[in-house]
Amino acid sequence: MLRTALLDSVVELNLPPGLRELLAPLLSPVAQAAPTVALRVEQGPDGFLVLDQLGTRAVADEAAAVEAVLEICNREVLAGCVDVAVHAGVVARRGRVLAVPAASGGGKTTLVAALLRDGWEYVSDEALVLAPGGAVRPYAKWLSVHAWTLDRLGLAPPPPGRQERAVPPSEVGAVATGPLALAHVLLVERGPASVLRPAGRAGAAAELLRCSFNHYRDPAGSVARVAAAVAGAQAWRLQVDDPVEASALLSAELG
Amino acid sequence: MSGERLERAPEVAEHEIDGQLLLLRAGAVDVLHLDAVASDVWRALGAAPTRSELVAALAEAYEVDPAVVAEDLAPMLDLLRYHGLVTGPAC
Repeated sequence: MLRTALLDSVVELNLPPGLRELLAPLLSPVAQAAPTVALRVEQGPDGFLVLDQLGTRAVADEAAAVEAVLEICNREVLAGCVDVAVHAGVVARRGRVLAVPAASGGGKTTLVAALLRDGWEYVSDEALVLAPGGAVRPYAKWLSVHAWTLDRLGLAPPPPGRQERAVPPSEVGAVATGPLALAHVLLVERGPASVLRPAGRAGAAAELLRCSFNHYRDPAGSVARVAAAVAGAQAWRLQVDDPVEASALLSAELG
Repeated sequence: MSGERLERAPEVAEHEIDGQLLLLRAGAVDVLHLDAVASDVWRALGAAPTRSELVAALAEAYEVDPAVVAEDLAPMLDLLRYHGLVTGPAC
């Protein structure tokens, strides 16, 4: 049995021993606290069955089982989050948070990983979580890093046949601690070179809300919370070609 | 048509950042971001003007030919109407 606490959820995982060894470095175990989410993995003759409250998923091997478990954990943790959660990569320096709102495939994890290599501290590769008053809560889960990025950053490759590898934050950099406040919102677009220029804060707030996982629960309250957080931040538009080059630019300009 | 009043929808939450507004209609999920000019249009709509009065007010504020204002205003009002934020005559 493995039990881990992320944001407002405590996830209890019933795992075969081999999977437990693979997942324990990615899901910091906690000894106590009542679970809010449970999932189970069973080993069978043709692979694994991953069972959670939504159903059963058959996967062929350990690597696929790890991916499925992490995907479910992330989904359930975000569903159980009581605060406004925005799809974003998030790093910090000296408590000042840089958030990169983007949907999946937008390159935010790649940029976050590059920033961690340049000395920024990890907050999340998945969600900017805004508490009442606009304080940022860390969601320092594992990073799901694509093979290209692993290679570009000199990290170990994914398992055979996989496109991504789940990486413990400690493998890439330090995790942010202490109070965190939103200082920068970065709107990223692809381009032929890395260029950083100021952007409007109202547009940045609108983009954060567009990328929100859960503002539909309390639209007016969420708008107020995001607006309050952005009011104390600067907004930027970053054109990215190479994430390592972009990270160096950000570190020089905003770090 | 120009005598009919344009009215803002009731219960619209407004948040202003740097002179630009984020609008959210009660019961809606999608937020509308207005740039500085569109935010001025929204504020002017608070007086429930006729379209002619709105054009005249904006033309005076921006010192622009009313014909130009009327042309620029049409898509802005269409956008607000699309989001259910304003009612009144189409332009």
